[in-house]
Amino acid sequence: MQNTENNSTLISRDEIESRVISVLEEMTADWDMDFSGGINSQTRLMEDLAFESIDVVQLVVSLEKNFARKDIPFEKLFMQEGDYVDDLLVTEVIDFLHKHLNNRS
Amino acid sequence: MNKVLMIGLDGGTFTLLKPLIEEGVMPFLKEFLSDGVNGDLISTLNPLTPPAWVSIYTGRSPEVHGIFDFMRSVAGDGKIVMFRPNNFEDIRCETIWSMISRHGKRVTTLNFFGMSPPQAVNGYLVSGFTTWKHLRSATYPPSLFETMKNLPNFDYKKLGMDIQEEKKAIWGLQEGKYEEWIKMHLERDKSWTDLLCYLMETDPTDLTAIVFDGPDKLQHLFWRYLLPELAENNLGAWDSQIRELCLQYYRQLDDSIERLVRIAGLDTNVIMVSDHGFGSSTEVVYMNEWLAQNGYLKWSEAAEIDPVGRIASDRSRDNKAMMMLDWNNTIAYAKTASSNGIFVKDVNTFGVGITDEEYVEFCTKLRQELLDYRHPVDGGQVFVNVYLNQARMEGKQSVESAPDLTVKLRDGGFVSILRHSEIVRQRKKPEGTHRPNGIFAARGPAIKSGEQLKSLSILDISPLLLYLLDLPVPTDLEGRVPTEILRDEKLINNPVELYGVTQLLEERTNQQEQQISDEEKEALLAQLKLLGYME
Repeated sequence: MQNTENNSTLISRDEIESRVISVLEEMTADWDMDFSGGINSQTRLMEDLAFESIDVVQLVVSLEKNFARKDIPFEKLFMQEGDYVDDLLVTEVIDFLHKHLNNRS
Repeated sequence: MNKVLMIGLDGGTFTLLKPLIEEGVMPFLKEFLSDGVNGDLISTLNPLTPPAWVSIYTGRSPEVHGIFDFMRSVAGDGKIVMFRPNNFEDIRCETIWSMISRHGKRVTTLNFFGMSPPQAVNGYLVSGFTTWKHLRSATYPPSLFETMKNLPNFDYKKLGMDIQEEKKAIWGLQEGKYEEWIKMHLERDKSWTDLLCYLMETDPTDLTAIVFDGPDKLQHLFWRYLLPELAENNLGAWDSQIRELCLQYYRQLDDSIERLVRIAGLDTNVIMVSDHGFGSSTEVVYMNEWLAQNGYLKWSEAAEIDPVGRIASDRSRDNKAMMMLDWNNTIAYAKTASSNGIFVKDVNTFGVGITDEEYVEFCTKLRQELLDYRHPVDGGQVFVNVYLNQARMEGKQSVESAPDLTVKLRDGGFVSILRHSEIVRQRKKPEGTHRPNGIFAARGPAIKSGEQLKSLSILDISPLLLYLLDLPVPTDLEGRVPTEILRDEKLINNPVELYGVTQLLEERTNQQEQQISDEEKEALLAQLKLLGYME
């Protein structure tokens, strides 16, 4: 589901968490993973969901679409010295979005 | 009703297809060519898959649709920090799938580059260049994905493209992996054929279009086994086995084409196109090394020498290649091996670089130095042409991702972005690389028979498809309807109608929002059916 955000309106952390988890659930629905249990804020993208770099790219596209924002500097979250970070918790994605969607960079 | 089937062969070239026809490998293609018309199809300035296919399905040049490469870069902190694959949202022009849908006609389009996230069309769409893990989000309508998952004797995962595997066509592949790799492409192309046959049989649409991407991948790695004059130098038993497996791929491709054409029926006009041609590459040209030796670029301490003569290495995966540059002391650089582009650092973006006032003089000088460069051993000109970014040279705004200079190498290949002590290094064995001359062939009730054509432009395909579907051709398309391929009676009864313009980006955004609403409706209906509220 796509939503148009008004930059001047603050978006709650709970709302972001709900939408990030929803995006991840939809993205991984067909993945036949060993990971059991629902995705939550403590889920690890690489270790639990077996994310590869192409999956990170797809997540960025899906989040941009979901939050209707193309100006979020995701490279600051996912890149380190020219390579993708080793792993990331869902809560770190939520925190990052909470900061940047509410223009508190 | 006029129907059209478009079959795309990524990297298809008559340089190879005609010898394969002579060898009896592609009997249906032989029949197809002799019954209809054929000729070369001239690709985009840099003959590369993304800009070329997008030009085919938008009728616009890269300078307008904005796609020059597989990836686009993200700059930050005075350097390139990330690459992202180009996707549908980066395409700045209306697609032919949309034009046809707007006129109430229906379309099926499978495996074209750049169609994800999927555009809402009046029909079916599955984007190409997508891993199986993300096919769901590359398919429209959503119900089509469920159909694909549940088709008997069909594994939708085989449609997916493993990007890391595909890059081996460029990085190189261990010889022990050759057979497995060719079989992977055999399976994938067969899966796309099976899916399209199913859709054509159950719900035929006005335009049906598909791309087979296997030819490009095989030709990059196995050109020396495929082209008869090169294959003669590879006479060992194992070499012959690899060649035979490659030929098996082309036999299957011929069979796939025949299956699709037969299902389409005799009243369907069929056109066959490729995004670019193919030829031999005999040397590696280290573009960034040339820039370094001429004072435009400085390597970082982390930059290692390329030991094996590749245009990109797996080190460049995950955006590593740009870590090899000393950004504070670099003014111009090549950032991918595929665009053949040189990018000039803009002071406004990078903090260090060229100002708007300096731009024209800087690029003009750089271009001349490239043209003047001669191979240290044979004295030949290595950069046989260098194209400037015309919009920026005229002080106009350019598409953000457009290179400032685009080089054409003497062997037609792609530049290397890696570091080496020499600028030009001879390859031990020739490899396949792109050429501007792709293929065009057509057959059907509206098409002349038995004619060899002069070259068409890749920009002519969208106008031709619209014309064959009895639709007006928007006046802002850059190509023309190639009337020389059409029967006289067709032209008399249906003269070319130039009318209207393509859809603006803002209109597309509104349409996408409507698409979401439709998707929600579909999901809601499915849920209601599941709960037993609806039949």
